[in-house]
Amino acid sequence: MDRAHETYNSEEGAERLLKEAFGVDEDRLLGDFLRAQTEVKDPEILQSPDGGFEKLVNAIEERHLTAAGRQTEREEEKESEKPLSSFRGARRRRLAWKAGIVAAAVALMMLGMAITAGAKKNYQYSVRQRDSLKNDMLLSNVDTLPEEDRLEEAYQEISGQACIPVLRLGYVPERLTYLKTEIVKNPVIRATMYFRYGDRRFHVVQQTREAETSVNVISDRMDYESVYNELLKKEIVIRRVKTEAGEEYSACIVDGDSYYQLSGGMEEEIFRQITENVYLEN
Amino acid sequence: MKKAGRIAALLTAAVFLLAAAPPARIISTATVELTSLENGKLGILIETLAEEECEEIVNIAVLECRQKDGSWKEVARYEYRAEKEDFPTEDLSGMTNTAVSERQKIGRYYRIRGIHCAWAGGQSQIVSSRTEPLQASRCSG
Repeated sequence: MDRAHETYNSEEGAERLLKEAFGVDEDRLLGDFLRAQTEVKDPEILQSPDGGFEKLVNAIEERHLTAAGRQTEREEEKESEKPLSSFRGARRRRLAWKAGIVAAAVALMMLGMAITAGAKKNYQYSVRQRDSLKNDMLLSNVDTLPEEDRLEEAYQEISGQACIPVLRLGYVPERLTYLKTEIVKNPVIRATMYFRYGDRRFHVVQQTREAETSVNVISDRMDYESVYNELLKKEIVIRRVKTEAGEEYSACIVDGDSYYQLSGGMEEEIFRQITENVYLEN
Repeated sequence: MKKAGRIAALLTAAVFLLAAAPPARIISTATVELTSLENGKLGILIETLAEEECEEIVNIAVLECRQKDGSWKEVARYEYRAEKEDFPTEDLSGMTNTAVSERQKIGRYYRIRGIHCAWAGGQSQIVSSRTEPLQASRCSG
């Protein structure tokens, strides 16, 4: 009964020590540690009260000394109380386990703080990196961001003036720079978008036919390959010609009364990616 | 006499080399379009797209009407010219022009012959295009 009470007190004592030191129970400590590993924010990190750590260490040492004293007494008793040895062994193991829990909690707490600090540093660093990257993008792409805006404006203008589903580039290569859009509305509605790709040019023609029309498109490009556009659910034929300036490609897409043509000089892979990623916005 | 012969030979060789040289490729796509609008109106579109920035682009759209004997007669001509010096801040790698020709004879067939000219880097290229015959009608489409 006494032993059971003592064991109960030991368990209680360990938890009490933790609560006194940190004001929380061991589950919370372990939870906080795990949370600390996943980069919690500063305000969420558990703060130890002033002198809490020292208080806990002192209490553990005191407890350890007391337990050691009791253990010596028990070892003396062991000689006279052989039948109880197995129970005592179990109790010692429980005590050792409890002491281990407390020590582990302290170690985890310290390690957790260290890891948290490390993680926090990494987190801050990566955030700075991200922010920096964003800023870099903003700064280094000062010339391109307004062009993206201008490209968006061009799409809006075509959509508004031409009243046709606008063919948009789902993939805009890094070297592709939007230049301008020319829209004619009479007798047909036709928008021609001009881009620069390095020293070469890339054009996107968007047109709708509302009346009987005969059109003749002349180019020296020949059928080369076909690609499948998932967004349009269409097989698109790519035409190619080799010139002194390099290879030039074109692709034509017909959608009801509207037709679209992409053409320009660039690498085959780039043109293929553009073709595979164009889509119609209604 | 020998000198004159040598000069003639050099000139001949130069002409031969010029003739053998491949034509400059400046024009990427040449498009011409004819649309039958209502009451004998015909819509015309001509576009030249170049693979590089040009010093000058000229688009000429010639509207022709088929005669009873099957021959074609020019009834209107539309010429457009753009020079880089007139558009110093704008990219000149293409030009699109449109026009509407009115009071054409309903029931008669028309076509557009396009002449696309581009100059770039001291070289030039001319490309021809032509639509199929299209009947001028009273009603659009």
